[in-house]
Amino acid sequence: MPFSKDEDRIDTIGKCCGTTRYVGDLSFDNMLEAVTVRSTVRRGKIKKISLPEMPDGYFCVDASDIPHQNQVTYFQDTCPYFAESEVKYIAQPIMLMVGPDLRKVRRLAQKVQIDYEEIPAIHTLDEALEGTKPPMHNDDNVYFKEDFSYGDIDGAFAGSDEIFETQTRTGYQEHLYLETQGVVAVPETGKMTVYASTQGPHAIRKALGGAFGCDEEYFRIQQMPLGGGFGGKIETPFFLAGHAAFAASKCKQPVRLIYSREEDLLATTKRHPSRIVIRSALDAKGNILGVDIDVVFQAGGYALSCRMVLDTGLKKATGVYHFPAARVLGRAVATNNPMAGAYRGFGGPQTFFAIETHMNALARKFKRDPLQFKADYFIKQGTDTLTGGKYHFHVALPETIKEAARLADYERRKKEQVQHGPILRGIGQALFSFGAPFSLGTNQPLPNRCMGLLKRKDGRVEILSELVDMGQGLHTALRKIVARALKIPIERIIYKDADTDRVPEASITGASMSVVLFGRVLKDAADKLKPRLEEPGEFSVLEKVKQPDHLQWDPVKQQGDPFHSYVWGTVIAQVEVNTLTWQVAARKIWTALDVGTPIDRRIIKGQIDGGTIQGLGYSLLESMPMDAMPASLADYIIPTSLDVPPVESALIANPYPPGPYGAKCVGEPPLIGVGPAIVDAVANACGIELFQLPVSPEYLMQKMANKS
Amino acid sequence: MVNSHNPYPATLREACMAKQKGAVPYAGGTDFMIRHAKALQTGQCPPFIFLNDLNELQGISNPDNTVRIGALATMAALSVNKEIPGLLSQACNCVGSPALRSAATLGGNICTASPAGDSLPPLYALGAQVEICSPAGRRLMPIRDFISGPGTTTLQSDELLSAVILPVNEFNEFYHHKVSPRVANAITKVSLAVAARIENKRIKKIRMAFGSVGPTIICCPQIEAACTGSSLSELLSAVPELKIMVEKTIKPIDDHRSTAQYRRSIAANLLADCIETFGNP
Repeated sequence: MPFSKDEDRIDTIGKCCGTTRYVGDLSFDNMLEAVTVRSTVRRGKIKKISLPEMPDGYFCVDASDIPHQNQVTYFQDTCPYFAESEVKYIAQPIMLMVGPDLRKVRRLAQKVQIDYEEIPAIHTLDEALEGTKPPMHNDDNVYFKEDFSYGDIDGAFAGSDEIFETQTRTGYQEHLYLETQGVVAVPETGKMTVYASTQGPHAIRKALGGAFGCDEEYFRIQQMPLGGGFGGKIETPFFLAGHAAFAASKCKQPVRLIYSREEDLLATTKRHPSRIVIRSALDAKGNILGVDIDVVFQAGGYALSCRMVLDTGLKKATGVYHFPAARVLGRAVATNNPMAGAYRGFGGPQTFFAIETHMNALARKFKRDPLQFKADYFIKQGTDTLTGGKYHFHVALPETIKEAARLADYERRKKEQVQHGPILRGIGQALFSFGAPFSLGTNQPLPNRCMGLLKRKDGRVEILSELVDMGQGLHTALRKIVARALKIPIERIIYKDADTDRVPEASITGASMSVVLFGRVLKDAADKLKPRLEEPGEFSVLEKVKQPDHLQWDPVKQQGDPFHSYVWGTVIAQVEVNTLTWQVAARKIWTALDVGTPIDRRIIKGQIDGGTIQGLGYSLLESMPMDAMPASLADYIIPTSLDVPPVESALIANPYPPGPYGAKCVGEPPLIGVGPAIVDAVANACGIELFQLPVSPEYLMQKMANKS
Repeated sequence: MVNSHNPYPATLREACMAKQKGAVPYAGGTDFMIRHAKALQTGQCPPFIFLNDLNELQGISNPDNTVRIGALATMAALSVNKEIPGLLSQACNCVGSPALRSAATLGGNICTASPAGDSLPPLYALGAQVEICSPAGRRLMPIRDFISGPGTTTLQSDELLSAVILPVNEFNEFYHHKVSPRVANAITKVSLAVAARIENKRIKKIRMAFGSVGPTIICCPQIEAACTGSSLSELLSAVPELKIMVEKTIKPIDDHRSTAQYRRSIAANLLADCIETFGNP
């Protein structure tokens, strides 16, 4: 194995000792504090805004203070920084109150009186599709729609003996990074620096350029250490950066904008709730002839990234299977709810929950062993993708199944008695793959960009890249790759948090593409630097960001290879259901994952453990209504250490030739299979089918009452 | 509003008078900080009086075949103190997280008067009395009369809760179960505390109280009467009827934490579980 030693992450000590300075710890002379004034209604027209008397040195900042356009230009759909005439969700920003004393600013913000003419609001994706309320986007409330298919799907249904249908639903999920959203904007001579907790510093710079109507280089974005991201620091930071920059530009003083936890829960993006109907056309022997999948994602008041999230979700909707024919239709619909956006898994958790739950239910219906039943349809090397591309490399799915089953002693446990007094015990499994897209644009190739290495006078080598370490260990992983290519100790490799004045634009950090795509770019740069390492002076080697050569994608026809690499995995979960209270406790979770060549096993274990726990919360606890957010952690329940079972994991060695030293990705995959595995385990324990996440005790009790 | 008050009163009398003038008593602060979060953020909090210096509110003692628990006893202290009836210790150990239990006080949990207050069902079941002091003196009253509604008590503006008095050796069997959305650090969806005197496999005396299934803690005199005098085997066969009685006695609602239907069904299951636990020790 090329990487036998686990490296200590450079950020660990500061985070453990509390010395790491986050954006909220920054302070500047004459700095003003900002508080966002938000909509208190779901949907309405703003009739009148009455401001309190403003003391000296206190300002309000609204859409009229935006120099050029009130639109976050990162998004192609409408997305204003501040509401002007209408609001589309509770907590939509309307203006900023700014001044030196935060408590006074908050009091002023509370005193802003806004009168609305309310419009009947669309609460759920069902309401959006029913059309009983005035539409909020076009006539049909559909922000984005797309479909993929192959084979003779209509023929499959016409010739079927039976049609098996499932409808699954999943709810919101909050990222709950430890560090809430925050930025500080500091006006300087001929320039403005924005210190931000973000996953995409250059993307913020571009967006600010768009809003100010000026050269984006007027702005310098300094990436600050992130206290967690999980996708939540891609979209929301655009708003904060804009708000703080508009205020700093108006007041000509530094402006700090930090969300309280309540505000962060209420106003920031969440995982898209979903409703997915899967219909299988079956022949008389129970073979699947074709699968028809209808995916609806619930987006919020504005579309944000729903195109991208839905797009990757749809491309994964047929799971680890190649059916004789398949059709996938997806719609992202507008509702007057908190905005949904990017979240670890990027559409995959919803579609994999749907397909695995459908397949497991089918296996139970036919009393077949689920792993054998599913194996008939497995993707193999050379199989076509949903979009007419190919699985070019070895598919290590069977190895992950074998390894997870061995770890879990699955065959033995499966036959164990279910009833233990008031406890029902069950074991379940789910299979998944994780395709990583070329870019956050998901259906566009990577733009022409670069990253590279700076050989410094002192002999150290600095990585010039805007990619963000948000706690996932990326900087350590990339330093390891470069150190290995240069054959020098990792201590000689430097990786600073990005400063857009110093490092070139590459990409937002997300979509699990950093190690596999950009690690390769940095390795290529290091290979070029290697023979010049002893040259004196300071110089840099830049390398173009590119996707692997074997991939073909036609963004117009939406045909070809949808993803550049695939991680394969199996999750097995054992649960206990308490029949007194219908509470479900996960007792143990086993994961086997093919991540290609592991760059750092301890970091990977961290990602697997963390992803599994986040998936556990999504599966059992993180329950909220389809149309509301609790504004308190007393009511948004994530797992505590006492809720978390032992997580045992194993890695399958299946090097991916185009990746750096054969590495693939690990950030998002560990979350994907947890939901369907837990639901399968509960279904086996209780002898019923379940189609909803989270499996709340209330939902389970109701299903059990219907059973008897 | 109090203009210049001493936030650290040295005597109960001083504390009571400050409270009468509008100062808010602050002990562990764990509920207070949540209820006043908005006011804290805008610097508009009422004046506090910190009670920690008041010796009269501290300590656990055993006068006259009772346990007297000072109002400032923390949940953490009550969880481990051997003088405290196990039923109460167990419930106090279910409150929040370790950090929260180290700060939260019994007096605070009682005066918050939430139907989800975790110490309350055991206190009701054990027949606790509360000791109330004011500049005029002290008085005792049963806790079930002290708590008058959700978030309200009969405490007068110049009064403070000073202690809780529990009878001891009245009961010999106990049952406690808290159902919450996760294993720890969560607000109760439904809970049951039962104290019973069982002699020769017969119920001599039983008292039970449900949490989070009504505007206040729900007492069950009819169910207690139905159980008293029965043998354990008679009780076991009466479980179906008793479950129906539970469902009729409690008054759960639908809210963002759970549904009335769930709370009703689980409350009944908990009583059944209690009887099975007593019957099959």
